[in-house]
Amino acid sequence: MGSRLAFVRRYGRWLIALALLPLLGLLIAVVLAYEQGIRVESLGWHDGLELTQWQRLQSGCVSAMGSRLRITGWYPLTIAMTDMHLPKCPTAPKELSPPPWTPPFDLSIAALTVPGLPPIAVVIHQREQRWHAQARHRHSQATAVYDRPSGRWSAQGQLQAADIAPQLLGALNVTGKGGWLPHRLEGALQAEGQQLGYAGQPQRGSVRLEAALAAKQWRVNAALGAPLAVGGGWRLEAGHALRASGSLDGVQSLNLNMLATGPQGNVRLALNTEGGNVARGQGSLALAGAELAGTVPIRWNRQELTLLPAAVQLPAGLRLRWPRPLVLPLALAGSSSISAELQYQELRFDTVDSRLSWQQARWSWQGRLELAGRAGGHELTGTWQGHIDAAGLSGDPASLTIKGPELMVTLRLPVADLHPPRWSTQAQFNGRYRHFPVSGVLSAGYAAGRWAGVVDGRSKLPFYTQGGELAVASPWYGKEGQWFLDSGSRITIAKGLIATTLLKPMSVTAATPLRIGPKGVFGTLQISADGAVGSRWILPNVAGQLTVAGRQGKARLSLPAWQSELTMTATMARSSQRTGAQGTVTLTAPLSATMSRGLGVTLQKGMLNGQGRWQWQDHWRLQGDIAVSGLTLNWGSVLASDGNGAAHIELDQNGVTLTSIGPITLAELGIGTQVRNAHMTVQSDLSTWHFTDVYAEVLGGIMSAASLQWPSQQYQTVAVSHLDLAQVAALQNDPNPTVQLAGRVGGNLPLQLMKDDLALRDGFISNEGPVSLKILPSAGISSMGQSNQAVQLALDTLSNLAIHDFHARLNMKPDGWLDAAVTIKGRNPQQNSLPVVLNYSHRENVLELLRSLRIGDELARRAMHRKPAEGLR
Amino acid sequence: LDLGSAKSQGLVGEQPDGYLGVVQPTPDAVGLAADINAKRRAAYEAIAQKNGATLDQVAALAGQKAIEKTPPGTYIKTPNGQWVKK
Amino acid sequence: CTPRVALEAPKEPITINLNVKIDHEIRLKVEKDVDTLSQDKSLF
Repeated sequence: MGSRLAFVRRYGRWLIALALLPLLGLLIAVVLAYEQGIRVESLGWHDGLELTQWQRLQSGCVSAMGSRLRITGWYPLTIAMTDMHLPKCPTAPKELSPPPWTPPFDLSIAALTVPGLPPIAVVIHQREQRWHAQARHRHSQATAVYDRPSGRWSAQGQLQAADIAPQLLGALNVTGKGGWLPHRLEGALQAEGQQLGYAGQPQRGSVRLEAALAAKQWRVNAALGAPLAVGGGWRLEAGHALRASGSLDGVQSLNLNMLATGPQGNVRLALNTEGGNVARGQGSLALAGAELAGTVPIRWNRQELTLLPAAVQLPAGLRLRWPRPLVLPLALAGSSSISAELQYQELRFDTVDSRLSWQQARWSWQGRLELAGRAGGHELTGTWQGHIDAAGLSGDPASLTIKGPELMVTLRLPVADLHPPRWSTQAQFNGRYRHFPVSGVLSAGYAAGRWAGVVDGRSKLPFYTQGGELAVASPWYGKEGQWFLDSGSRITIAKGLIATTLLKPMSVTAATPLRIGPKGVFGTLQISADGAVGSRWILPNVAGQLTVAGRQGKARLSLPAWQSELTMTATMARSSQRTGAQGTVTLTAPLSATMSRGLGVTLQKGMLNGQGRWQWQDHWRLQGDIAVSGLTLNWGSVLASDGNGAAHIELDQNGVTLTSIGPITLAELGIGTQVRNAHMTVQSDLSTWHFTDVYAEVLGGIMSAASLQWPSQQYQTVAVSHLDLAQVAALQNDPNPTVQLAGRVGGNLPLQLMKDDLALRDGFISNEGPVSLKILPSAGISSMGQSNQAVQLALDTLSNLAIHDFHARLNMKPDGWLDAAVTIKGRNPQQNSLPVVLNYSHRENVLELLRSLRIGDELARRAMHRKPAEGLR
Repeated sequence: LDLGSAKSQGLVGEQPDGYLGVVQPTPDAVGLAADINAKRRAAYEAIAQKNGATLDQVAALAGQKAIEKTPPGTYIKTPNGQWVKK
Repeated sequence: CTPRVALEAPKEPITINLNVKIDHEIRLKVEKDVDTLSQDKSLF
């Protein structure tokens, strides 16, 4: 221990000086520091000098401050700081001069904070005037070397995007070098970013950035390394995206230039600062290309981005316009009231007190949308109040009103399910189509690449006085801009009454998908109707097929119970204002008794064929031909058989005209006596009938008339010839006839053919040759003879007459009573050709005679009594 | 629905043309009228053929008789087509 | 001279007037049938 004491005594003074040296150094350091503006709050020794709080003043402003600065080594000087803060100091010198000479030192700052940057851990070593700095913040780190003698510096580092904002991905590799001499700081920096992206978004991009510093001016160019796909076939193009320049004081100009291209065209965003001031700027968003057009002037400043009023053309004919500027706060979260108007063809959507708000990447819109405009010839108005965000729409149901010349319907569309991918809704609709009330549910959704849904509609046919509810159940889908009602779509009409006619249920079903477009409906439908019942007639069930092709239509309907068939074609009028149509119609119907319920006649046999052309323009018109063959019918007791004929029909709003084509023939008409081989031509409007070239064989002779009109007050002459008196006599239908006549008579019968009856006036018949009369002996006759001598004489005289002059005057009143005044002149060959004149008057109701002859029931016929009213005179 | 109750309920009534007419259209009334009128027509046709008359003549005669026999309180149609209660 | 009976046609013709009226009793028959028909409760 002693040697150490000696050493101390000998060199004491030196030792003290040596001990004082650090103090002296310290003192110099303190003076130097103080002179450099460093102020220290409290000093202490904690295995090294420790300044708990220190600041550096530079021209009155704190340019640096920190706490717990410990000097733990003197050579080289080793300083450790827990934190250091470099506040922004307006009065700080603009010059960024290179560091002065300093002794070698090691400086480590645990947390260096500079405004606008997160705290960084910095370690600086300085040896032989070569500064070596290393900075680290979480996963990002950078190193820089500055060789003071040569004034050269170089730096390289790796910046993790996540350190800037948690959701950012990827890293930026930075390298740079340059020179740093007094009054001259310059250099160039390159940065390369790979796999940059945002959490949750699939896109990954690459960025290339160059910065240059020279003569206190710096320039930065950043651009996308490669095109960045952003979805929907769109991508951001590589190239000069961002150009900025400025001085050490700050940014002087900023120029953003992004170009995005996509299938619909391209969008160019250009933003740049205004003059020297970086805080404000303007720019534009320019849309161009096949389906895009329009330029949006932009104003921006630190707080917000303002889109000035503009109009933009978007794909699919959409036009977006906003009358008032749109102000978007440049903040990660915020909201802005925006008003815009979207135009699609003649439809316009307007936003009302609408507000867009966002929270980082999550955005949402709130407000009211109002729709007005025209589409497809219909006026559309609609409104919706609610909320939209990435998940879809929510809020009250939207209401839409469609008004057209024939359609007026309002729809309520719930929006709850209106979100990707299905965008489905169940819209309730009601309103009126022409004068049918319509209501129901229209469901819609997007699946497998097309819009589809089901219409469940109800209506009621107004012309039904009762029942007649109409139901539509129709799946529909839209494909490539065309709309279809799927096959199986069905319209059913329930049983109902129209006045006193009962219409049984009917249904129309789509056999093929029905394409519905501006040109009309295209497709095939099956029709099935259960028929109809009237109090006096019945229509059996009808089945058929209807093919519709826009304005053309073809229907084939059959009535199985009547084996009848109707085909019809139709073509709608070309111009839409004048609704009208025209087409052809054919009808084949075997005639049968079941068809005759409502008729006064009963059809037994026959075939009806008709074909024609029809037009409809405010009323019906028809021109066609109708042919009946093999017709047999009975009109009560009157039987007509084998009627044939064809007629041309014209029907319009004034009525019907019927004109026979060639003669109408009827083989046999049993009115009590047989009328055979009748033929005539006919022309009628169904109330007045004109017959021409009338011919018929009756009572062995012929009846004919050039023309007859029925009904008519006129007396029209019918010529009769060659009538066989024997057959006339046979009309009495007497089982043992007393009178026998032979010979032919003819003449003219002026007839009055009225609606329900017939009259004859001054008819004249005379013999066409020899006539003979015989009275046959019979009990009745002989008893009459014995009672009266004169009668017996007459009977003997008339027993056999050869008549050379026979003429008769005939009159018949409408009730059927006939008065015939017959004058017969002849000779009785058995009585030495005694000349005889017979004045014979005959009074009988011919209609009742004919009716009695038509009695079908044999018994009744025989029981009929007939008594001659007056005797012989 | 039988004829008697249909008449008493004023659903149907007799017409001069011999057929049953629907006064108060209901599906059943129309169905009943159609059925009854078909049967009447067949009967008229038989009588017409038996008596050498026409269907309409027999029907008119039957109409007249039916209107005479209609109990009071049920409907009949007047010649000018009005439904009135007898 | 001898009287001669000659059957020669008398010069003056014999004139006979004959009036016949025929009645038919059809009408009653129809009304009878219609009457019986109208008794049918199922039809009237």
